[in-house]
Amino acid sequence: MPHRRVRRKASHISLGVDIVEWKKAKIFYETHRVRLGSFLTVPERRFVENERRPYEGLAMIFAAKEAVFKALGASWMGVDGFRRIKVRPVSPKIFSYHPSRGQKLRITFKKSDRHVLACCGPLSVMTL
Amino acid sequence: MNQAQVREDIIKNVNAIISQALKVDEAKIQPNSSLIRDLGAESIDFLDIVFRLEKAFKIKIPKGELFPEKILTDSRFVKNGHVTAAGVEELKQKMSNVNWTEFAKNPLVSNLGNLFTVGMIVDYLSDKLQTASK
Repeated sequence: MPHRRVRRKASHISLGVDIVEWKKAKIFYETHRVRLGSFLTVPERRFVENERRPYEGLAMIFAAKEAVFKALGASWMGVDGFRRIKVRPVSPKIFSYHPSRGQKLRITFKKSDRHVLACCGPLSVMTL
Repeated sequence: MNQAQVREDIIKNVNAIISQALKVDEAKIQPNSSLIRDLGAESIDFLDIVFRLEKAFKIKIPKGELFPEKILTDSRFVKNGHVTAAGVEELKQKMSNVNWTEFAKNPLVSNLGNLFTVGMIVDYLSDKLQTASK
């Protein structure tokens, strides 16, 4: 069954920020590696597997999806949110998300020793 | 194994899984412990817990069966971040063991996660495994 895409009018889109601990993503990756295909798209999965440390790619994907969810002001992320929100890695440090035709959100990242922080917002804001 | 033993077994396994997933001491885990409020679960943890439960109990947990997600993403049941009266009725049917009185006073979607308890998972698995064994 096709997944529903989370849609929001442009006026309802704000900034969304999320932070994920590398360690948490590492444990998740090591425990559920074979299950990644059940909630990641092919490009998302490819991004994870192409990273030198795949769990870091996974942490970025998790943080990006949660940041999109927050930017859209959606009511409940839950388990299914990780499937419904499909991000597109466009470069090692920039992802995009298209809530509807003509709309584009950009997701950028900041990394520290312990965490990755994702920030998501409309393209016009994120390129300032 | 009788029903009581099966349930004890489920409780033991669920507590171990939650302890591993959320990195909390098993002694802290009680049937009425809220996964979010008391044990600090985040969205990723829900995904982790579902995968661990599926593996440990050799079952498939269909989308929205354990945590009522379809209701929370349905515009008939959620408006402006609040669960509508119709949504609360739907949730009552899905989660019959929950005390809804407090939630209904301020039915914010963001408060709903506090109602997802360890006991709710145990009840779900007990029903599911019982149905599967018939």
